Amino acid sequence: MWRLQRIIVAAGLVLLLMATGSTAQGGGFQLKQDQVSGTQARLLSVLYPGLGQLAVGHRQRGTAMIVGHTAFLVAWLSSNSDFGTHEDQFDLESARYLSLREGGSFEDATEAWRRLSDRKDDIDQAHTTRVTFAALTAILYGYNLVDVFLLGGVEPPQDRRMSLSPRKIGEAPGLALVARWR
Amino acid sequence: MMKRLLLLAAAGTLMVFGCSNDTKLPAKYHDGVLDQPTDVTSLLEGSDFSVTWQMASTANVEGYVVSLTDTSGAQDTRFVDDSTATSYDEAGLQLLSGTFYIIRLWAVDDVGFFGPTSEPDTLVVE
Repeated sequence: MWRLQRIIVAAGLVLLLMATGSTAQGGGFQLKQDQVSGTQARLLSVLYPGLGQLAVGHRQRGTAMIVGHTAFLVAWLSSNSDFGTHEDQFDLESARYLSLREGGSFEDATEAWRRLSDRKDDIDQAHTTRVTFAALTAILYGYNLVDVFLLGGVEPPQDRRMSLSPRKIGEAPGLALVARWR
Repeated sequence: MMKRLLLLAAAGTLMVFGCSNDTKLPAKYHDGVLDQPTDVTSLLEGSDFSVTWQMASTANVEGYVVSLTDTSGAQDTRFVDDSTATSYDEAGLQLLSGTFYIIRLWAVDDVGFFGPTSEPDTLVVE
């Protein structure tokens, strides 16, 4: 289960790098200004929530969706694994209780039943947790789809308040932080 | 467009409700399968030991186990192979003098399950 989580996180990071379009060349970072089409951005968001929004420049929204979705996904996978562990323990206690039917005593069976009931409570709680995180993951993914397909979430931002712009500073190339306000 | 969104929403719903909780507690067999013996009274006259008890119901009863535990915790048991018995007698029982024994009793069914243990009775050996 942890291997799967690591693969998902690694895949998420790779997609994140692809979406931000930053590349390291010659020891420094060079900003790529390639425009991502709406279809490409939608495809990225279908692959992983927030990637399309990030690719077209909605940094806060994209980052929030990526972080939120990754957190819910990891929590869901983790709670699912937790549920599996409780399920194994429940099966073990159940087998122990049933084995006392032949040759066991009432007192031992009562104690085994108490432990079994505790495991059942644990398993119900773990199930509630994993369904909650699965729902949150699905809701965020659904909102991401609504955002990119219906709310124009992959349209380029119209009014960036702050941006980086390449400028010549004397003879040397440089970057200028441009702030706009109304 | 809407069809695609609906399909993805359906996939999300399946993801949430697909992870169902199928675990169920097994049938609770130990409650009520055998009654608890009551009114356990033990008596020692010389080396003749006897114990009597009552059962509200003898359903599922195959026999009884009579247990004698001394002060060191050593346990000695006797099996009474009669579901309707309400007493057990044994002549010539060698018990340690100057000590006491805890007498307990429980019913047994046909698969060897021991029912609830009776309240203890104390037998003083002079």
